[in-house]
Amino acid sequence: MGVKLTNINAAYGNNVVLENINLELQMGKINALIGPCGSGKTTLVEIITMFQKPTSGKVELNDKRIGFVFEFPDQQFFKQSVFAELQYGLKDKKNVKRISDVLKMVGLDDSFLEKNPHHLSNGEKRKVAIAAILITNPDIIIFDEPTVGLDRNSKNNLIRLMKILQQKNKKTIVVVSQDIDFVYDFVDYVYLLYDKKLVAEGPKLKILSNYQKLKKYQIIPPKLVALTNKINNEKNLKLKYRDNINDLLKDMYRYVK
Amino acid sequence: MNEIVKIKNLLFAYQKNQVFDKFNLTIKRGSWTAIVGPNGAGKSTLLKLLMGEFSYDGTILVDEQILVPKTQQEYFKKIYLLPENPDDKFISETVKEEIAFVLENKRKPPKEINEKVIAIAKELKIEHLLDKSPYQLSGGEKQIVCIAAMLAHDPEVVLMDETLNRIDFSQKENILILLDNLRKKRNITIITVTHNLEEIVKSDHIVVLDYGKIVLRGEPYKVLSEEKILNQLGVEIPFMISLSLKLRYYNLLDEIELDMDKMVRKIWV
Repeated sequence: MGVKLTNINAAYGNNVVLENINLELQMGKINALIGPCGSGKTTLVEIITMFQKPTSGKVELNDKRIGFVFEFPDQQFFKQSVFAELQYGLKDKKNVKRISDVLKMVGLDDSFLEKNPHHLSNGEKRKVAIAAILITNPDIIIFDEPTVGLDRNSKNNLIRLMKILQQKNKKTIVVVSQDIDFVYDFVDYVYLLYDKKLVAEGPKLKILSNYQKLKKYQIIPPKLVALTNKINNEKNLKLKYRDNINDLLKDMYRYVK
Repeated sequence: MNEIVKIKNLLFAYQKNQVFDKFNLTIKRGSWTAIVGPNGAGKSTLLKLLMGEFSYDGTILVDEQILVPKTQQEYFKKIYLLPENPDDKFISETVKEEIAFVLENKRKPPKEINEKVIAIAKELKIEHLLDKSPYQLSGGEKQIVCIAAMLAHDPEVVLMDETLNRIDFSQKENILILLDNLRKKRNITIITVTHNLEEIVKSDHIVVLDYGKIVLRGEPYKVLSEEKILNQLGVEIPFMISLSLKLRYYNLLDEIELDMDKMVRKIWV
């Protein structure tokens, strides 16, 4: 059993922010939570991470441990060195090797141990923030807007890391993101929030290729979906929706030939 | 006077880590310059240096004004940083007070402050937000309030460091258009550090940094077509440019096309 939310409602005073949410996380998968600003994503995540209580409804975590990687890494750091930051989350404080291992996993080496996390570059800060969560060995890792401020190589490394965590370490990943092209690239399952409600959920290709539905819920479709859609309409073709540009180009090339 | 930002022989290090070693950069007045490059290239550090957050060796001039303690006030009249997280910047109960605060700091008389706040609100079409708490607004509205405060400040140079990251894609385009119009109308210079491709494409000049050095600079299409160099640096190429280059490789398209509708019409003719 994984994480299950039943009839969740939430409000700040009179301001309702979530209405009747029923959701079961896809355990062992990479999940994405998408929706326009103000749709309730942040509150929903705060409820799953127990930062906030719902006004009504049931949250079942079933002993699953949850790690939350903040959008702004500086909000997460409270120690003066990377070593101290990571050691804080370590059960066995003497297990220094695990600190090195986790750093390596996020693409940093031991030369970072003595550095002040607040003095690192944006990309490095993000990596340390992820390492600080990984070291606590959670079952579910939630990433809040993880691509903000990352260059393409760092984005690719992050995707690779998430896939390793999912496939090798059997973690469940949840990505909260506005970066729809990033989500389309690699997640398995999508939850779409709109105006306080969960309006759609399902496998990525099903949800993110539904052009009309995305428009209705103020989500700009992934560029590959938009392109495929335009080509199909303009040229009266039936190209398949692909999540990789090279696959789409091969399909197009075949038609031309 | 055509060059509003002049950086000469800049030397700066974080502890032992030399970020800039005799770095030189000039930026044209009224331009929109996007500074791009891999993480750790020195982009954000450069903006922090412009905002006087660290001491350095060399010269940084903004509109011929040098940043030294004696002239600090004059320097900061000319430059303004739009925050990534507006909540960090807000200090007032209402949007009106938030915009007025900047003018109060300039010691303007109350009548003038009131008139100016209303004029700015009209220009940005946020009159309906004036009595609201800035904290209760949407991400896009919050950023427009920051732009209103920026207009009250009336700077020559506006800096943005991943400023529009928290905003919906649908609102982002509107804010970019608004900023571009303000830039042209008031001859403001915008310097943006971003990985956001929509923002990069809006610029009229791109500077590519790596390890504190300028690797490439020039007009956006020219710079962004340097696929090989950008790939090596890990700088993302906007989707339409990357697609154009790939289609060109397959002989399906002759030139770079940024408009998706036009591109689709051009292929398979």
